[in-house]
Amino acid sequence: MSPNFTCDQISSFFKNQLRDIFCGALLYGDEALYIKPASVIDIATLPNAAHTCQKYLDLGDEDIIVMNDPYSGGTTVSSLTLIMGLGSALPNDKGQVYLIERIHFKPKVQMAQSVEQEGLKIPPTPLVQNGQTNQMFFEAMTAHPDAPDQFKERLAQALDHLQTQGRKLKTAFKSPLWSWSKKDLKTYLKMSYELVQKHLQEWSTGEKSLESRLIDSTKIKLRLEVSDDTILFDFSGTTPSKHWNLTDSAATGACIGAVLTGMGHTTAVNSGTLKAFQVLAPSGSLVNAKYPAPTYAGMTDGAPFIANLALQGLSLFAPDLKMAQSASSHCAFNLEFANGSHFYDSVTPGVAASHNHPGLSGIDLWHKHHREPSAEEIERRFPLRIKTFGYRQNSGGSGHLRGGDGMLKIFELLEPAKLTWTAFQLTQPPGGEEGGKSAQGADIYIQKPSGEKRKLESEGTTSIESGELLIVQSAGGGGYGDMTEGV
Amino acid sequence: MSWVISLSIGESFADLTAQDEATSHSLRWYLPSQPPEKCVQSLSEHLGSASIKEVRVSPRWGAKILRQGLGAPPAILVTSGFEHWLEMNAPVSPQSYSLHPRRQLSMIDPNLIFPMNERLDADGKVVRPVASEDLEYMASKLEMMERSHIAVTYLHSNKNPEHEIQTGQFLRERGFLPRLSSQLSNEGQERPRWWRAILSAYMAPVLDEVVKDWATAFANVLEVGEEKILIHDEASWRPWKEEPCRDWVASHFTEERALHQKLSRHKDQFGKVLYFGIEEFLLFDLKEAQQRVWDSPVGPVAVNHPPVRPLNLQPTSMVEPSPWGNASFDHQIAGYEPGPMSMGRGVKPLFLDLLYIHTQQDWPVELANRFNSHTNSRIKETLSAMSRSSSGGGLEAEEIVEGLLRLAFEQIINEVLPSEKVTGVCGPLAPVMQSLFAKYRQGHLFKTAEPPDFRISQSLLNLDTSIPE
Repeated sequence: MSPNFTCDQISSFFKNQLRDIFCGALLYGDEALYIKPASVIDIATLPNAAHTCQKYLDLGDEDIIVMNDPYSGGTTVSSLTLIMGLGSALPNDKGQVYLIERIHFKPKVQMAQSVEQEGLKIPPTPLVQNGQTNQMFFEAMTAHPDAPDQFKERLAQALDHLQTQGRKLKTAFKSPLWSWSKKDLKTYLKMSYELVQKHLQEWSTGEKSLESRLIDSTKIKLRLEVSDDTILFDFSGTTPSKHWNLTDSAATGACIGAVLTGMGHTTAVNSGTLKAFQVLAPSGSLVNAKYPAPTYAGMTDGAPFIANLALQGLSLFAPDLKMAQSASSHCAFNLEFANGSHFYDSVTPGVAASHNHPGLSGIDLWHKHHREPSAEEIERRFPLRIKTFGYRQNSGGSGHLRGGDGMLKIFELLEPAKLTWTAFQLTQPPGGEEGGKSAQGADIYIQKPSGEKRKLESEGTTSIESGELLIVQSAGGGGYGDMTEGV
Repeated sequence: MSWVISLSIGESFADLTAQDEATSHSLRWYLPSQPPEKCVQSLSEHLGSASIKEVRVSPRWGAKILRQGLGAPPAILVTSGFEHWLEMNAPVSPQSYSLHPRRQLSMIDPNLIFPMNERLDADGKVVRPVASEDLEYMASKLEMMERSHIAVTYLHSNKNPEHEIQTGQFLRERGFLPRLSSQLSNEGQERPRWWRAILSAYMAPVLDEVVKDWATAFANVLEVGEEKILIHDEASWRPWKEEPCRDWVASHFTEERALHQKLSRHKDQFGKVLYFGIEEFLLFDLKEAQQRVWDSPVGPVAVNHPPVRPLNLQPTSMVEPSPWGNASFDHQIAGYEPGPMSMGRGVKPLFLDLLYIHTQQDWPVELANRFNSHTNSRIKETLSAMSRSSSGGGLEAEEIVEGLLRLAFEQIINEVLPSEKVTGVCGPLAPVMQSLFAKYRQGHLFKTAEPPDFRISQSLLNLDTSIPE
């Protein structure tokens, strides 16, 4: 059987076996065989989480470790990572196999000064060992006042799900369906690397630099070095930030995600793919924050910014990738009501136009597309009336090709609430390119019943009264090209 | 003598069974579905002057209509503020690693979405009633646009359908064909409930026409009255003409219901059964309960249906260059227009072509007559050229065919395993697929669940019926 078909079959096997996992990975020893990210930051944080656990803890057959610590390979404290050992699952092979699944809880936007204030932080901790659930730890964790909503039920479901998937995978490996050797796996990883190299060879090589500044004067410096077989992202000179903090593995994932998106990558990501990339992130900077810096804003809005910046850098080597500017802020907010319930939502920005495509409205290039929750369910569960869930018309930059529109959400409060939000942006709205116009930036307003509107700062906390409207508008994407082109 | 006829109308083929009510003797045909008159003429030559009691029709066009965007976007009346809500939540493809993903949106036309200034709260209480001037204004616009199929989709209509009912009544009086989301489903989430009404309206122009053509053919050739042409909804067979605003989404699952009902008698023997039809491959899970929501091309749609889903691999799945430098199966389904290269029709190889290269035995006679063995060399040359054009390729045709067949087998078995050691197999292409499985079986057993000449149209006869098997 030719190695080409072997790779297709191996890839197809993993794809099918992991089809019921939305976000996760499969590792064999240190090698990531298959990474299934929900967002670009998962690309590098998922294997990093597994490596951290392997380094410090013993993970036996069907043992499960739970963690969410961003500084151990997690992302935000509202995303829980479960790592299950599958023992020597491959036939005639002693190598250890691990299955990882990451589940996402409803986050809570906080004006946190440290990651500890963002919610319940869980370092890598054995949850299941030798077939027994660590019940005391489970109860303590799920009863913690900072635990997310419905934590106990969802964690129990997630455990059950992971165990089912893990056992199914072990059976599949032992079945005649899995007929490949360690050598075949090495070929699969090698060919995955070669696929990336093949794309790199279509781009020019060399070194380019670019720089950006945030509204709080944080400086982001990026030097790219592209060769025929690797790309280096060097963030030396990037300063720390009060607003956005990413771990180095999250920043790495954002950069890799930008490259793969630029390439239109169509096969799964694994260690072979990752071999083509190197990221240098100075310790303590925005792209390699240190404990206890808070990470929520960095992981949600900072990561798309880094990915957009990486893409901008790549366009210097591959002009086809040139685009106007996209926004990164998702305008995340919560409303906390007197009865203790809290409603969380975010508003996706528009995508910039490129030289040959208009921008798409309300789509995030760096996250797997997810459906919005049901409007009827929101109104059933919370004292809110939704006035509008729609596009923010004409918020994309005009041009020969128009930028995508942002989104608009308007809520009427039926009871008073405490509002916390973050819509941190750059100094200017997303800019146009080659004569295209800028988009409208993100805005958040509170409107009284009288019609009087108050624009809010880029982040903060305030109270909002019954009868008032909360108006959240995400940014559009910049336009490309002069409007008079082609006239 | 009185016959009951069941008719499964596929994209290219019609599968018919006629059963004598008194003796249960049955006749079967598998014929090109166009033109209907010719098909019905073939029946009449065998049925003679016997009367027709009823004709059970299942137009199996829904998948093609959705896949190829063949329907007509209906007008949509929606609660003001939610005009973009469905579009915003449409599936995006590709999901990852693309600078230019697209929303899958062909079923709705933003120019045909009309915001209505009505509002109910989460308990169904009226916040703002339906205004008659709004209805008048909207109706005059629809008349100008000459749109008759309309989906009425209001927020919280499952709690209080009155606004939708009021709107529907007004529209019917004006000669429109409204489908009310609250009437078709009581699903508590708006989008799956709204999509049921919208998709029914979207498919209606095509499916109404398809059934009408066949009804006309039966009337002209066999003098069968319109009242005897029956369509199945979620619960029973009803005269087609009785319901001008037919729920085509519910009818879309008629054959799955019929097959599931038939195959359920094997559930002690098999957990899962693979159905290998000429136009479709399906996987039935006999141990799972009914499903409430259909994972459709537009996203979740509220409709009760049995636990069945199409396999990733279909008989007319296209073969395309793979990023790994070989050939692989694409998600695209070619259908029979133009069809397989081995029938002297299309120019791109399909899975069916590879199956034909693998074996010329055991094909259903209706297909076997259409194959042309002289096309084999052309298919292989096309595959070789495909491999040469992808870098790292340059494989020999025989190697490509072998690799693809094995890939096909593993894709199918990956969807079935590892929960079952024995899987049931049925359908007209089952014998051919069995021979493929025999080549690669690797310890898994595929056992025939129904005889090789089993037809879907037979199971339609037994669906919700007093007609004995």
